[in-house]
Amino acid sequence: MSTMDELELSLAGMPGVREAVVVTQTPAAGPSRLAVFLVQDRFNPPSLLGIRAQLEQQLPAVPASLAAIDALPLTEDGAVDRVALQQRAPAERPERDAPLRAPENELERRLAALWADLLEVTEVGVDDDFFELGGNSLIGMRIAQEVADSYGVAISPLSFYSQPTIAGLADLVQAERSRQ
Amino acid sequence: MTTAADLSDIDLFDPALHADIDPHPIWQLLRERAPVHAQTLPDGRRFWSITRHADVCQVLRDHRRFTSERGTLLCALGLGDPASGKMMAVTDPPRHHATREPLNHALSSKALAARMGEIREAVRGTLAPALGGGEWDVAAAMAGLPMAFTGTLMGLPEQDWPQLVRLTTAAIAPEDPEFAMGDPAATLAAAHQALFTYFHEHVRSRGENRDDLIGTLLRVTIDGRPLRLDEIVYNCYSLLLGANVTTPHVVSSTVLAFAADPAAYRRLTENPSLRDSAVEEALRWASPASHFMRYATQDTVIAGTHIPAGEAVAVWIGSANRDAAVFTQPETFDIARHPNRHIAFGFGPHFCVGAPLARIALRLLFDELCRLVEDFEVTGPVRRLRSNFAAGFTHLPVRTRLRSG
Repeated sequence: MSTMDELELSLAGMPGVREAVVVTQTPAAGPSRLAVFLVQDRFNPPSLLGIRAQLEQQLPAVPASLAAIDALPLTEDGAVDRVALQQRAPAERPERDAPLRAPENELERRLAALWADLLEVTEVGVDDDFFELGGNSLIGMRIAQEVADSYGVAISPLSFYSQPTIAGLADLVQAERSRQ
Repeated sequence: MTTAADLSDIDLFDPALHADIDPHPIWQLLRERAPVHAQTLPDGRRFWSITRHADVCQVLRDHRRFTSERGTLLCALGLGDPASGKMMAVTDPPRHHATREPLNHALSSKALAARMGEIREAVRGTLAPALGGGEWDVAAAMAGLPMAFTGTLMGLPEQDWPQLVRLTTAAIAPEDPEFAMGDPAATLAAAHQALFTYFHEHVRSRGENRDDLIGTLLRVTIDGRPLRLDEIVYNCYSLLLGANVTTPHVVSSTVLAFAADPAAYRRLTENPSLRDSAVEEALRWASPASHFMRYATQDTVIAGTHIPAGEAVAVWIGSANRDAAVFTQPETFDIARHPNRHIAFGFGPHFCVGAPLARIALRLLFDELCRLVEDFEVTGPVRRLRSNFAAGFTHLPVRTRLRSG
């Protein structure tokens, strides 16, 4: 059994995950990367923050991207279309005036990985604007739910949208946690 | 005299125009002088305003030439719509039918006949503030009217209704000072997120066995699979929005018309046979959904004007409903108007799915008003909602004299 098969099995047993497929993606530029696709439960999507934290403990290197999807693409004969998944690579971070500012602490690093997963972009800088990265209110809801599950804090939509960046969200999470 | 320069000053995108100025004279000018009129926003986004009844119907009828899938409200101009293909209102036929058919059935007059008692009770409840015979705020009281029956039909707990009314209104009037929570963009995103989260948690916690509109959505299948959670959440939002931000304004607008023309109200109270035509005239007069947006899928021509593929058109319902080519004396509120080919519920494939429910509720409400109220007098400043989408009111203070006995 290959490491990728083992990883698929272990992911498929996680809450909110109905099926898991791991593929290697080979971008035109840059090294190849491991991408995880999780078929989510209809009503209880998996915790991507939680799964990443768990994988960090189990694996020497965490996959480049986790994507929660509704259904796997199938080939004409009904098998999982792995080629389609290999080609479904996250988009490059959009051109921006400001240079990418990397996360400075553990919280920012985890939140940036979550945003990259949910927004399907390769990387997120801590000052990048949520909407400029393709964010919308449904993804905002998913972020708030992930943060509530993993950090036990409720972030109000209004405070989030007043400063919709990783740095802003990390500040809100820290402020809420110190209040508790 | 009005010049071409004046026309280019018209800013139908501005919510303040709809709140602080009467848009009807502007629409009339456009119908006469520039029925297909381009407007460019300061940031370069452009849309075409369509103001004549025939042209509006032409756009709404033809989903192949004018798609709904890139957003249907001007506030989303040029931004696309994340709910495209997932929410009924921003999905074109034939995919649109999969959700539309079961909802049509659940919201048909026939299905609703069994709920008449409940709807009547809901209507009576919202008229409670009138019972004292003193001053009350029609707009504030009516804000809760749709929730009182739509909330029940959707199976939503009553304690949540006031918050849902606030959030749905914020979602279409983020610039109204009573509903703004921050700058308009933050208000809009926060209101959407709060509503999506509400429905997400409600649907998750209630389970799949339910005999209400959300149960109907849970049983919809599309491409051989059940609706996904985001699709359910978007459609719950859309159903509630469609009810909350429209029906109350029909009542307020009509009460305002009756206060200005007591003879018309007396005629209605004395002639119950006019109640159905009065409901239709109230819908035409109020036209609470002020516009819908579509995008041209191909180079096309409307009333002789070339519209390039990919450009946005806004059809103004309130304007179409006062078009003299279709309505005799369009600026007169005539409860006996016949025929009345208004398009207050829209036209074509996206005709309001809640129309039978709205008609029943308005009919019952007019019956109750006629039974209770002798006349209306406006006692304070009328405040209009700051929105380019909902032609509505936030405050309409009136004194009502009750009937004796």
